[in-house]
Formats: sequence, C-alpha cells, structure tokens
Amino acid sequence: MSSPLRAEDVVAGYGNRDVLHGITLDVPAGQVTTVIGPNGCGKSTLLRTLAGLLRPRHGRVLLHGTSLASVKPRQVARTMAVLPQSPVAPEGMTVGDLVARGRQPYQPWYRQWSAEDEQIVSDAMTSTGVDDLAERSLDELSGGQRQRAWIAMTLAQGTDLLLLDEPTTHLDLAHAVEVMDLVVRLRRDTGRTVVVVLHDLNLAARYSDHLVVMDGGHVVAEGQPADVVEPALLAKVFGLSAHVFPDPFDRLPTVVPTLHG
Amino acid sequence: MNRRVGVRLGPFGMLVRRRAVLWTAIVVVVLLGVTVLAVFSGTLDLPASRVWATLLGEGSRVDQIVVVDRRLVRAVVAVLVGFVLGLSGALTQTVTRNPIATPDLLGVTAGASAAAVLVITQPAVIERATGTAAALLVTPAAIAGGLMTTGLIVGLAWRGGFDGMRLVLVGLGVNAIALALVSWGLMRADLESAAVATRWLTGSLAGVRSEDLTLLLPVVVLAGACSVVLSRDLGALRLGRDVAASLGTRPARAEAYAVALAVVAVSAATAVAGPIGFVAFVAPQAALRLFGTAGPTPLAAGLVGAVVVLVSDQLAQRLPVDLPVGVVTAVIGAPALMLLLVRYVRRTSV
Repeated sequence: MSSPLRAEDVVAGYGNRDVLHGITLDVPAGQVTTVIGPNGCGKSTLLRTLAGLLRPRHGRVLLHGTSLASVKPRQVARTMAVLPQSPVAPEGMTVGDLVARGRQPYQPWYRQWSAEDEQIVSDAMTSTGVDDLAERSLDELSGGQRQRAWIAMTLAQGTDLLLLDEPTTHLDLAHAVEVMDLVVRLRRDTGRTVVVVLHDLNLAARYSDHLVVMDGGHVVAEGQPADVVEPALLAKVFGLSAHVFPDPFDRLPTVVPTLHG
Repeated sequence: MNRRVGVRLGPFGMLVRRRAVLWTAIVVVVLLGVTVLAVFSGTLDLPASRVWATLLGEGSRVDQIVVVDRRLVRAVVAVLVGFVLGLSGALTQTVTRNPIATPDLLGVTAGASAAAVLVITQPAVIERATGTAAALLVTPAAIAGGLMTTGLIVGLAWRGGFDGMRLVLVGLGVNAIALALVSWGLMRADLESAAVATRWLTGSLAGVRSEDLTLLLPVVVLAGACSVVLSRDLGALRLGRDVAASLGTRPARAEAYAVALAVVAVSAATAVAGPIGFVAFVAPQAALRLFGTAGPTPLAAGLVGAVVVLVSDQLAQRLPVDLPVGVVTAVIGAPALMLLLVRYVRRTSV
C-alpha cells in the first residue's frame, strides 16, 4: 500500500540550528505509527514538519504523493488533522465550541455553521465520548476529558490522517490509557492513519503497529514494536539499562528498568 | 443559559448564542436611550418640543448649533470612537492571546499622541484667532504616529509571531519613549500651543465637529466589515498559532491583517478625540464576560466600547466639575486593569 505521508531527506530546525538531519520516512497507511526517542531527539520537530507547521530547510514532505509546500493550507487541513503538544483554549470555551472549530477548513467566512457541520461535530463528540460535555467549559474538565475534546476537534476535520504530538503529556496513567484506547479504536473503526509522538516506552510498545525510534535528529530504528524494542537499543538510544520481555497476557514487549545495587 | 442555535440565511450561516443576542439587544437599547438623553438634555435647558422641532429642521440657528452640532454630533462621535476602540482592543488581545496587549497600554496611542503634540506645538499650526489646532494636520499626524509606533513595536517584538510577554515588555518601553517625546514637545512649546496640546492630550470630546464624522464613519464601516470577514480566522488564532495553521488558516497573515486594522482604527479614533485610555482594554474583557464568547470578539467589544465612551462622556459633562472623558474612562478602567492583573497573577502562580 502506498504511503499517505512521506518524508524525503528532510532537514529542518529552528533559527540557524538544524534539529532533523536528513530524515526519510514512510508512514504506513491505516496503522498507528509512534515516534519515540530521548528528550531533544527531534520527535516533535519531525511531527511538526510532517504536519506542515514547520517548513523543511532541505528535502520535502509528500502528502498523498504531492509536495506539501505546493498544497493550499485549507486543502491540507481537509486531508490531515494535527494536534500540537499541550494546546491551550481561551478561558470559558465550551467543548462544543472547540469541536465545531474542526469544521473550519470547509467553511467560507460567511458560513460558519451548517446542518452538515452540526452532524459531523456531533458524531465526533460521540465517538470520543465527550457528547455529554458539549456545554461544559474546557477549564472544568479532567486532563483526559480535555484531551479527548481536542481529539474530537481534529476528528471533526474529517481527515484520514491524524497527527498527535505527545497527547498523553501531563496525564496520569489511567487518563493516558483512555487517550491511547481512543487512538487505537479510531484506527480500527475508521481505518485512519495515525502518527503519535510519545515519550512513554511502554505505552508506545503497547499501542503501536509501527514504531519509529529517533536519536540526535536521525531515525535509528523502525518496525513492529516486538522487533524494535530490545535492551541493546534502549541502552544505546536512551542510555537506559532495562529488561524487555513479552507481557504474559498479550505477549506485547514490556520495558522494566533494571535495579542497580 | 448559554445555548447556541444554528441560524441559516441563504448562503450565510452561523452559530448564535442566546446570551449574545440578549446582550446585543440590551447594549443597543442603552446606546439609543443614552443618545436620546444626550440630545434632549444638557447644560442649556431646552424644552423637548424645541429639541424635537430642531431635529426636524425647524429650529433657530442657535438651537440648531446646540442640539445638532453640539449634542447629537458629540454623542454620535462618542459611540463611533468607543466602537472603534473596543474593536481594536479585541483584535490585538486576540492576536496576542493577552488581555493586557491593547493599543492604549502598549504605546500605539502614546505614539499617535507624540506625533500629534509635535505637530500642534509647531508655531504655524495654531490658529491664533481661535486657539485651536488645525485639525487637518493633526489627524494625519496622529495616524502616522500610530502606524510608525506600531512598526517599531512589531519590529522589536516579532519573532516569526507574537510572544505575549515580549510584546508587553517592548510595548511598555515604546510607551515610555513616546510619553517622553510628548513631554519634550510640551516643554519646548510656547504657552498657547502647549495649552492646546494639553487639552488634546486629556482625551476629550468637547471639541468634536461634524467634520470628524467624515473621518470616523468610513473607518467604522471598514473596521466592522473587516472584522466580520476576519472572524473565522480570529477564532482559529485563539487556539494558538499551530492549531490555527492546522485548521488551514495562515496565522502570520491573519495576525498582520488584524493588527493593521486595529492600528488604523485606533489611530483614527485618537486623531479625533485624543487618547481616551483604557476603553480598548476594558471593553473586550467586559464583552466576553457579558456575551459569553470564548475570547474577545471585535463586534461585541465595539458595542460595549461604544457604551463605555458614550456613558463616560455624558457623566463627564454632567459632573459638577467639567472633566474630559478620558479621566472618567481611566477611573473605570484602572481598577479593572488591577483586578485582571491580580487574577492573572493568581492563575499563573497556582
């Protein structure tokens, strides 16, 4: 199957500093791809470049085979939805208002509401389980509920590609699992292609179909979690001394730090 | 309470909050009521029948001057100036996602003032006979001053976008420089032009004339229309630049349009009425709480700004001491600013 999103020899960064040093990557269609790596390895920069939020200095990003730079932003927004890290909504904004924003790529300035929009927004809220919270203000919600509301906004964009930058940051384990369950269900029920940046190795190993390991602005390993997550790689990339073994229930790789002394 | 209803009209469609409709109605009624009050009463005691006759064009020349040129024009200018100030405050607050980032607090108004004072204090500008400044020169000077100050602030604060705190700090610095320029202008001026400049600097509607409407009306129409067209992109900007971009908005372009519009609008208002402080800051914040919108919206802020300036100016005229409107808005605005700062510090320090 052809890749809906592809990076070709991408060099990108901020100011004069390059963070990504020539990345070539094919995002597999209809799978959950997770990017992991130590702090500062460029995983968020890679996601922002794939999303078109950051222009590559060299190389290009292909969206369904077309260079991202040559597609209009609104057209991109109808194909690929992005949730940046720790997004902030204005004080007092309701869940319904936020999710309705997801329809913006389809709206001319004079029509910011239609019956079709209403239906799609309502579906997005139902599938993320925030429909009962529509009239609630975002500041009143738990971290997990708030993150699901933001994901509902990206779903309202009606795209087959979804990019999430550290959607579990600042969430406790139960809420992080809640968000990742939602991601996996979206992939299963709607066949969406999802790219997630995570820093938790166990969550990444458990919920991904495809794992991309980054270090120092390069992709150093790629493949199924069971093939990629192994002690030598963790030691080399994360400087982490750990045991890796399949869990007794789902046979998925599990990372446990070794005890010293 | 805050339920939204989808409204469709031909190709147009929008989500309307019941609360926003209610408050729009209240604000419009207040505006009409106070304007009627302003036209029918004042320091000169005219019976209502004579005012009515004058409005229908049957009054004497003196009645005509009092009712139309003084009372009605002054009330309408107050409404337009307030609308423009509130609207421009909402635009800059939205772009920076910072309630303190308004043209009057960040030096744009001070820049317009500095240019105006430097022009007023040129000896040739004062009409010796009437003791007023030649408005033809002051107006473009104020607008140019506002634009130049904005250029300076944006140039110093822009790092591929606005960082709220950097903008506030740069704005405070530019504000101080502009105020120093104002002092310098007043220092070297002769007594007469210094007096004219000082009167202008307090922000007063006492001297407005019907010609001011020809400047303000197009600005109000332009600003209102552009705000409507921009509202979709402004809504996206409230969620941050990255989210806005991922929704298909070009954030830098939308921010540039919004800031340019705000500066033109606020410079025109300042050119007519002098620097009226705190309206651009207070009106959007009051509007978003009353109308229940997420973030300050330009049109709601404009309506509330119109009420603030009109009511303040009526108060200023009716108090035992004759105060310029800028003093009254400062009395309302300064405590509101302190309240917001206290809340802001609490929110960020918890």
